[in-house]
Amino acid sequence: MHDSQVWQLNHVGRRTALKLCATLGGLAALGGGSGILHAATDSSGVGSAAERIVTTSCHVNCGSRCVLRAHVANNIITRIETDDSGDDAYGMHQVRACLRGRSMRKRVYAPERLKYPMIRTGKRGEGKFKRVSWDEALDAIAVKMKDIKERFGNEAFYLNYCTGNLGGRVSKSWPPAQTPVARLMNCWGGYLNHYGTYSTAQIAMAMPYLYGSNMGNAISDIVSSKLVVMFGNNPASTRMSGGGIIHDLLVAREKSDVRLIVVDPTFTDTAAVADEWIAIRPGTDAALCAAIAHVLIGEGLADQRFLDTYCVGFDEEHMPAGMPANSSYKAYVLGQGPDGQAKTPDWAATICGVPAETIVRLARQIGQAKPCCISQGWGPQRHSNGEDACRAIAMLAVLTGNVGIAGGNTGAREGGFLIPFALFPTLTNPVKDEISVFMWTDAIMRGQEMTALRDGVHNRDRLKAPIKFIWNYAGNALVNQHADINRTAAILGDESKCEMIVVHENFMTPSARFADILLPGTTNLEENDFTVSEAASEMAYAIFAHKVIEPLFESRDIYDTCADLAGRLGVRDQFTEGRTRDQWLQYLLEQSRPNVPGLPATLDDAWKMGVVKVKNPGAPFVAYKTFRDDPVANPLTTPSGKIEIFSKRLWDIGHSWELPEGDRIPAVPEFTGEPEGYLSPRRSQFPLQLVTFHYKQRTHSTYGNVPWLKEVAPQELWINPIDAGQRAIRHGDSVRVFNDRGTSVIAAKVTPRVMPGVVLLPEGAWYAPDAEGHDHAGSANMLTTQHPSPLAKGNPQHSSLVEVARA
Amino acid sequence: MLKHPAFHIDIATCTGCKTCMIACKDKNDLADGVKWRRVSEYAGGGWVQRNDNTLTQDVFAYYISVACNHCEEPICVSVCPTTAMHKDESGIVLVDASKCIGCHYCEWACPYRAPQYNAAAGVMTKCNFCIDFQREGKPPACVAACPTRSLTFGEYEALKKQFGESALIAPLPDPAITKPNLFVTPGRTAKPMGSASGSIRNPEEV
Amino acid sequence: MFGTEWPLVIFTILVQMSVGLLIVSELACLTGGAAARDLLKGREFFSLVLGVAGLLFSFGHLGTPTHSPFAILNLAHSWLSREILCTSAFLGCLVVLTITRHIVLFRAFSRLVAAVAGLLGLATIFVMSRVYMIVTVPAWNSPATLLNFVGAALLLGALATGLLACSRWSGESNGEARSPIARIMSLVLLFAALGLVAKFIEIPVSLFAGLATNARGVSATSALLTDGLGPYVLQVVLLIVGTALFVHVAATVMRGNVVLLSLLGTGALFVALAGEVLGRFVFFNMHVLIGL
Ligand SMILES: Nc1nc2c(c(=O)[nH]1)N[C@H]1C(S)=C(S)[C@@H](COP(=O)(O)OP(=O)(O)OC[C@H]3O[C@@H](n4cnc5c(=O)[nH]c(N)nc54)[C@H](O)[C@@H]3O)O[C@H]1N2
Ligand SMILES: Nc1nc2c(c(=O)[nH]1)N[C@H]1C(S)=C(S)[C@@H](COP(=O)(O)OP(=O)(O)OC[C@H]3O[C@@H](n4cnc5c(=O)[nH]c(N)nc54)[C@H](O)[C@@H]3O)O[C@H]1N2
Ligand code: SF4
Ligand code: SF4
Ligand code: SF4
Ligand code: SF4
Ligand code: SF4
Ligand SMILES: [Mo]
Repeated sequence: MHDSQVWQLNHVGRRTALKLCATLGGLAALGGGSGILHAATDSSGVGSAAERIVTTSCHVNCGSRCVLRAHVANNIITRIETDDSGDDAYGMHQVRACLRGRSMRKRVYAPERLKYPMIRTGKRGEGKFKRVSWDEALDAIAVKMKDIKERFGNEAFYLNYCTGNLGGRVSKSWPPAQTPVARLMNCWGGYLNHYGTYSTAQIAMAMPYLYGSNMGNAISDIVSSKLVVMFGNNPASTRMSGGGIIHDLLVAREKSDVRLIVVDPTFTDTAAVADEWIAIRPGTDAALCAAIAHVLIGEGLADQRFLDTYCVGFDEEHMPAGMPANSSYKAYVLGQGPDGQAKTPDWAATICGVPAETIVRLARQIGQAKPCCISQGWGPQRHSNGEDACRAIAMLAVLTGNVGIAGGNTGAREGGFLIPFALFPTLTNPVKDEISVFMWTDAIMRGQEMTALRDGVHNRDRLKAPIKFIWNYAGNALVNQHADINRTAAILGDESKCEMIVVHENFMTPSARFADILLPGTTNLEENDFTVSEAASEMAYAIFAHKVIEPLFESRDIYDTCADLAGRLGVRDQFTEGRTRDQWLQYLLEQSRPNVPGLPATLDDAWKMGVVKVKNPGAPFVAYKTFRDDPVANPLTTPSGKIEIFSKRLWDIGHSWELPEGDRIPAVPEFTGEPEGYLSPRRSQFPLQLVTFHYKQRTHSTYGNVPWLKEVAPQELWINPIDAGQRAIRHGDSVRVFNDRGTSVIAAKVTPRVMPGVVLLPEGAWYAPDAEGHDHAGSANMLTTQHPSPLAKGNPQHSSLVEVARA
Repeated sequence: MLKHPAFHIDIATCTGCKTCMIACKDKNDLADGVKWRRVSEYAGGGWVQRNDNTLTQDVFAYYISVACNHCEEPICVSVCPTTAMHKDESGIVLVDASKCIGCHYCEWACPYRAPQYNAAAGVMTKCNFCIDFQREGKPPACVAACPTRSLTFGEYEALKKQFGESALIAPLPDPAITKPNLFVTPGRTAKPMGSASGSIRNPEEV
Repeated sequence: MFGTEWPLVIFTILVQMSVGLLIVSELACLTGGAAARDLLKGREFFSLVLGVAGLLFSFGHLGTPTHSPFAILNLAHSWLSREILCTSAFLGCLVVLTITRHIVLFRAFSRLVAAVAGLLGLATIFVMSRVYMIVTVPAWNSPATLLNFVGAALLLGALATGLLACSRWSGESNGEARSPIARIMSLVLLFAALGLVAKFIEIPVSLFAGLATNARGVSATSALLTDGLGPYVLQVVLLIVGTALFVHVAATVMRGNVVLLSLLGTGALFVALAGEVLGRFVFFNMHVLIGL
């Protein structure tokens, strides 16, 4: 649920989102049946008695959602195939799973599967548990919940960021407000919510200051582009489904043969199919973009008419009232602002590493290609200056007037085509307090000290209670995916602070080891659910994922777990409204039918149907098209209704928030330094910039225990031959990656595909500490910092300085 | 079933995702370490660090997914002492496990590293072009899996008409050695066969 | 380096030694007359034992030895089939030779049989080298492989012949060049020297052949000179030391001093053998495929 439109779904509210989806897809215009393909792939009950083929899905948090067809014999999965329906013609194409989905049975049958409910016996995090019955486990949870509620109130209950079951409808694990756990808590007084995501904290916070929201054109829209420049966007690795973005991208590119430039510290798998790679130092995109702006302005390539009509704050003539002179973006770029530094290509080159002549050439290409698609992934924003980086990149689209037109883009990540399938209703949360997704460890340590102005607490000036109880359903951010594992482990290790942690999981993950009560969850192949497409451009779909096998061991699904707990808390009837899980699914079908054409009548029909696909009846989605067409009639949702290059709101925040030394919140997209960036003095001690990118072996930590995947895409530290040579490291050597927060030991991949001065350790490997606390799995968060970004208070997990040595 | 099946791989769109490898492992339930299909990462180029803290580079990388090419002149077949390795009527090169002595000789000789030893069974194994699927009129598992549709298969003559002779692309060996039934669409940065400008950078994966 | 191919290392060396022993010892008997035949009595049997032992070890390399009868089905194309056939024929011939030498009635044939065995032995070594001369393995696919195997046969065969003779020799030669032991030893020295020459031609030729860099950026030679350098140098040293030791033994024998003869002879053989074994491991590690 991280796509730009869906961002609206979380932040603007469901009704707007449904409306938005409908407009996007022009679904109202869709006659029943046309452009809809029902892929009858489920052969349960037919065919040979020995083997059945059941349609299910992979719906972990990779942004894609895929069709899996499980072959089952005697309640054992023997093979996993994917969508093979139709002739694969684009628009009704097959939703082909990636390598991970195809290895699903290895995950279902992994030796790390949790078998029984367990209660912690050793110290927290030690991983010592004893087996108990479900009743004992749920009783223990209920008793503690009542106790904590009495002492601290519902504000002390936190639903941690958990995206393991992102694609489910009933079993959905994030955002918290859409989960069965939220429904349970809402029946019982509410919980402390979080805003933002580990994925998009900075960009989702910052872009609305520029545009009012965070939307981008569909990737398929590049059929109309003359040039595509992708900043830190690697759909070949992060949008791998053959039903989604990477396929959309390649199909569109085949049609238009448009030139594709990738700007990234890494020669990514997307760069492998692109036309040019421009290597940039992490965290310096804003410098590069300022220099490009300098060339565009200097050479008359900026679209002055667009800037005058649609924007605020480009130049001194279009500033909000009452701002000091020379605060405009143009003044910043030309060096007329307070820093007095003209953002010339020469200035930027020494910072970002891109030669000045390349910057000039890139600027001219961007300025001359009409239209030009500027897009970014979420790599540039997962930095401690990410709020500025993402707006700076978007500025290229604004300066060249590429916003709101086909073939252009906003500079944000690609949008797509969605169907408004109903969500599991979770009632409303009586508690309004929210913290940033990244600040929960602080909320355990110093809850009541956290304030709105200092820590970004929403809807309350100061937190009412520290976090005392954590729900962790289908997530590994309790330890593995949150930054600075050693600090997290220390905070969680203090049992007097957070008093109870409940983990509902499939495996004995690093996070599961920190549970007080450990509940074995069903995998999605052991339950009925629906999953709806997310990151796809021209075809949306819903997969009716039929239970493939009976739950293994004593595992139970989250709905039944919450229902039983609701009983113990005296709210069972409110929770279930008399419905079973399947009855809720039936309910969702009925709720969705008016909005999504072609849905089946009954669950049985749904299981037989397997997948429903809806082809985008219109042109590829263009963000802010109505605004571009008529800015007066269709203003943006910014205060001025225009694109706010200078944001008065940010100006105010920058002048009122209490920020730690060195942090800044500029009103225009400036280049700001990072505590752990290329320009940071800390680099004398830890000279290498670490990027923890998203890798094909895993979806975060999910699938991280599948040997097949480790075999074909092993975890390695990527290091340039120059840096490796200086450290006498050869390909395959075991190396130590370390800084003052921790050490991780892993094999080196010596490759020219990462620029000198930068190393890569893909995020998500399962933290495996030795007796000294050194990790031996290459778990990236041994090295990352919990110092949040200034505005979003988000996770800067691509901003860490490290040193590497032979192990 | 095709008369003369051959693979085609489009290097210009292959993202090296390795779904083809896993689809094959799942279909054939391959043991750890046994990879009937392998995706090689061919990369090269270098870096210059300049005095003004900037960098220039001419780095390139591309992937190439190869299984067995069911060659016209299969060296694996000619070296095999037992005739366990053989080319059947359909042109597909297969191992007869009831004859194989597990001598590794085919593995030593095949320049595509297609023969993959199954230590538990003591015999050589390799891609069988999903002959069972083909007989049912279905595409091979790896082909049906490819998310980018880069990997395809088809009738040799048709593919030849479409793509011409086997491309002489690094890191592939000289096709004259075994006459592989493999067609390649080179990508933007493809280097000629035998080029020393790059090398296979993921030996641990293939 | 020493993990994988040891059954083949032992197989190839023992069979080559077997062939060498047969050829050198038969030639020694041809030139040395009855006294030499006495000193080298049972030579065909020792040869047989070495060859059979080698063959048995080769099974250690097979995944499914029970299928080995199928291994001669591809004589039309496969050098490995031919190798198995040749080796078996050679060993079969040695069995016949052993029998004919023991049964008076057949003695007349034994010379013919020995000649056939010698030729089969040579063929075996030739075919064996062709097994490894695979077009896709540049470091193996050169005349060096044949030289390597021939050299090993001559050197080890010569040393084995000498050892056999020394261990039987109880008289004194008084430095007389025409004494049986001296004649055997000069022949042995000649063949050992030939073997060494073959080796020292083979080494640079194979290094040169191994220079070809494959697509993984690896060449057999560079791999050898980096990771495999220790065993490689040691191999050369051992070959030289073993042969030198043997020259010393031979000289001692010719001067009529039999003290420690056997001990030194055995030592020399084992030193050279160790060199060959190391060298063979090095050889198998030079399997660097072209292509992917
Ligand atoms: N250093 C670094 N860290 C990062 C990032 C980075 O770029 N760098 N990226 C961040 C981002 S963008 C994200 S989204 C987060 C993701 O972090 P998480 O949300 O923690 O995602 P996963 O690691 O996939 O963990 C999901 C867990 O859910 C479990 N699970 C899956 N399905 C089910 C189910 O049906 N039932 C139950 N009970 N459990 C299930 C899985 O076994 C797995 O342990 O990581 C963040 N962490
Ligand atoms: N295979 C796979 N796919 C996934 C996931 C996964 O774990 N595995 N996770 C999913 C989730 S939840 C998310 S949020 C998305 C994440 O999607 P992204 O955040 O876009 O993915 P990342 O790999 O973190 O970063 C993308 C690229 O940004 C580059 N980058 C990093 N820092 C900078 C910078 O400062 N400037 C520039 N120009 N580039 C930079 C990285 O090198 C990387 O190539 O991926 C989703 N897809
Ligand atoms: S991990 Fe993502 S792309 Fe891969 S199969 Fe699962 S949902 Fe599809
Ligand atoms: S599945 Fe397709 S894109 Fe992926 S590695 Fe294989 S051939 Fe390439
Ligand atoms: S690719 Fe190798 S194994 Fe396959 S037929 Fe050709 S030579 Fe034989
Ligand atoms: S391993 Fe089996 S198939 Fe390969 S050459 Fe030996 S006998 Fe033939
Ligand atoms: S054709 Fe079948 S056996 Fe061959 S690589 Fe593809 S999936 Fe594997
Ligand atoms: Mo994410």
